[in-house]
Amino acid sequence: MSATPLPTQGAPAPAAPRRLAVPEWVRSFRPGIALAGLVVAFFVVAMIVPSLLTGHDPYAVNLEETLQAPSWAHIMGTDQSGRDLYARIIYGARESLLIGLGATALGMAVAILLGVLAGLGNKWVDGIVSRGVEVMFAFPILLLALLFVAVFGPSVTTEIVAVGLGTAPGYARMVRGQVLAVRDSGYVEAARALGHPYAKVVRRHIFPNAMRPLVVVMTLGVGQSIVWASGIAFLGLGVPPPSPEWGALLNAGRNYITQAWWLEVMPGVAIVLFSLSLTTLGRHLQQRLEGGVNR
Amino acid sequence: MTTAPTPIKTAGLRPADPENPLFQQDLLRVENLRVGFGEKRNVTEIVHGASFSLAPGECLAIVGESGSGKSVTARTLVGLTGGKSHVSADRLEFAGRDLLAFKDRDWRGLRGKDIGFILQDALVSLDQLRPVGKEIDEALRLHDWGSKAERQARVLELLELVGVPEPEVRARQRPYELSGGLRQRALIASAIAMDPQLIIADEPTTALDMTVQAQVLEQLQQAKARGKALILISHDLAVVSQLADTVAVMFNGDILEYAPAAQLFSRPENPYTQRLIEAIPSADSRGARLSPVVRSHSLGEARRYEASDAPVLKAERLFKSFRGPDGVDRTVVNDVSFELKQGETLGIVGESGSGKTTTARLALALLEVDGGGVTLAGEEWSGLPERERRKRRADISVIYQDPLSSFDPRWSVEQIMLDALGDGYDDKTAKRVRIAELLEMVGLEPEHLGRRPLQLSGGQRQRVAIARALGPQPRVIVCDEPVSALDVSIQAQVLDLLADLQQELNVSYLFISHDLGVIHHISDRVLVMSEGKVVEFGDADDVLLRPHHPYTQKLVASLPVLERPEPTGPRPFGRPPRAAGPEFTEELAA
Repeated sequence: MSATPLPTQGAPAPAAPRRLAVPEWVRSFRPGIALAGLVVAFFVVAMIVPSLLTGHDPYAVNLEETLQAPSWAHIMGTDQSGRDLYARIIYGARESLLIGLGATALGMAVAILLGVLAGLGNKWVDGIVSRGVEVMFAFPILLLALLFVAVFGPSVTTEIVAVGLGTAPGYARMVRGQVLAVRDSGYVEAARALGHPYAKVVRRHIFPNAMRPLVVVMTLGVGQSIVWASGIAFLGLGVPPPSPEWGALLNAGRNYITQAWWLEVMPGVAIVLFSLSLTTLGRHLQQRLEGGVNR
Repeated sequence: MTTAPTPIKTAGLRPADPENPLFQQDLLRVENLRVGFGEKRNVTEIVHGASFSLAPGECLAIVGESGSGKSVTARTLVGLTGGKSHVSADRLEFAGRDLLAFKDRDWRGLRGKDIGFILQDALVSLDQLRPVGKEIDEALRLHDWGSKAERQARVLELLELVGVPEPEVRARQRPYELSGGLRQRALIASAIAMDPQLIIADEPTTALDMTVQAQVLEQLQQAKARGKALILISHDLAVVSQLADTVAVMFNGDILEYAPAAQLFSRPENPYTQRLIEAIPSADSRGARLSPVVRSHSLGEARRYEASDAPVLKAERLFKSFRGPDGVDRTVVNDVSFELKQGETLGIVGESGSGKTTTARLALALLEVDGGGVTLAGEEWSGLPERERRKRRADISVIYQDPLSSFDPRWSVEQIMLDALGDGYDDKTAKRVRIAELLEMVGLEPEHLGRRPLQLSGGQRQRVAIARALGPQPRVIVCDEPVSALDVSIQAQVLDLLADLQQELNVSYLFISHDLGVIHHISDRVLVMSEGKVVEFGDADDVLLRPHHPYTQKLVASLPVLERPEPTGPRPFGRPPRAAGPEFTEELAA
């Protein structure tokens, strides 16, 4: 029943359990989290200074080396125009991450506006905003994307707007729930009992506390937005070629999938790896921030 | 704490039946039980060698404050300590079987059949989506008891047995459709369904109202009378004194005292037991200290109000109703009037749903009245617009039951206190001086300033809440169940602190509690509420010792009273603490 037998009768009460002299950060070391951190750091560097990570030019056409399989010269192979795929993925990180961050930021901004309005407003405001959010929910993101591309033409901005607005209703609901929970919390009533004006209570208590869990949600959201954006790009509604945006790479490689598998697999792995890492970090952050005990 | 427990042989009567080998020995024998939690090297021992035994028809009570290891001990007996636990003992026998050798399968066969386990809150331990009859049926079905029809009859019989009226109707209802008392009784029914020899009840009445508690205790009493052995886990000595034959007092994983109940309550030997018994507030403890904490501090620039006959808070014919989800208005506060003088305490007592808290929120003007009015310091209060009230909110402040949820989780104690100080301070230094004074008044150290509420113990949190309430120099403090969530010894310290502060500052309390003992201890006058109405109002002794209204009489009758055959005499304020035994500080108990 017990793996480590405890002292039996006659033995003195045991002293505090013996601790090995291992520093806290070593004991709490989690390889998965560290790996995820490395992956994210790698792509963030790729986004800021891509030339640091590759010597190839992502736009340099070389018709002598088209559709080459991965080799030492081109570790991820080349595409139909002989461009180095690794370099394209590295340079594509900027647009992809920009779309992810931008879409999440836009979605959050819209969501916070609507959510706070619904959460703090009276019955009528809440009703109207909440119904509006539900109508937005009814539109699939892809449909929104089609709409925006049809109106504004394919570009990074269009993609950001489409994914941002598409994800906003989900966030808006969450924000509204948070605001409601905090609005009825004990400390808000305590602040009212101390005689603070309501505007001050909203500013000092309701807003910051309602926003607290959103930090984590945003981390998770960036990864998801990138996946959404890639999906939209894959359908040809994203950034037009020759951009090396990851979704666009997927779209471009689609026609050569029987001859050159790497054109689909490599950008796909990049997307999965990056969003998986972000999600892992987000979950970790969630546990750290909301796990209860603040040390 | 390394006090070695000295097991004392239980002194209960044992029916000696030569036919049944069970009766020739104790039903349950536990010797030197140790339970630890954790992985590999990081095992933390929670129970350090507990020993006790139990015979059929006997009740053992394990008493202790939170963190004492009493629940873990109980769970060990049914194999519910969880995966990362390490259990060892010299002997752990139930009905002649060695529980140490039990595998999961054996435990499943034992639980419910031979040992029934009753948990604290029936609302969480019963399946919300299943009718209670099904729940009880499940307990029978798991052990292959009878046919379907037989089981159905048995379910009704059981519900009848635990005093559930109209069992045929109730069996088809789901837990949320039942009142707290009925739920708890349904849980008892499922625990005793297989007629187990031993019933373990972990805080079975803690979440219940006083009158319901009395009913549940009656059910347990009857089970005991039918020859069942009973282990009662509780923090409440008064409850325990109703049922227990023997009592084990636990502290930090050690059994400090293990003795027959009568002996333990009349002549407690361990200083901790003595402290626990002395800490119980009641009619006898009025005007006396409950805790041995000595008070010494400067009052600084705290304002002392002069006593006067003019009421500082006066409520006249208050009405408040809420619209329920069914669209029907329910009158929650129905014609409630009271007066509170400067420097006195008015206790409001009642069961859950009686409208106490709503009355408090009306008095605080955090809720608008539907009818009637409240005056504060002789001036209009509830009728003013919120803008006007804000200026005078410093006169009336509030302490909540759960201090943790009343603090912004992002804030440190210092930020909380800064926020509570009104205007009229020259600069930050003046504010800091005042905060230091306030912390000293409530018995906190300057080092607590940087902490967050999460890093404080329950008692310390409530002290911060009191300091915050004192911040604006109020005339009245509304205390809404301020000690209900605290352990007995911490409750004693907080009640003492409130009494001291009243003596020093002449502040008035509107004190709300469901606990008659607490109310009688602290109140000058008492208001008894039931279903939104005032049923009785008057001096504390008049109302609680000579109740006139049948409801008050019922309430007073249901209060478990700890028999204290050896009166220690009233302990006046300022009396030095009983100097004996180790110091049980709040940190240790937390």
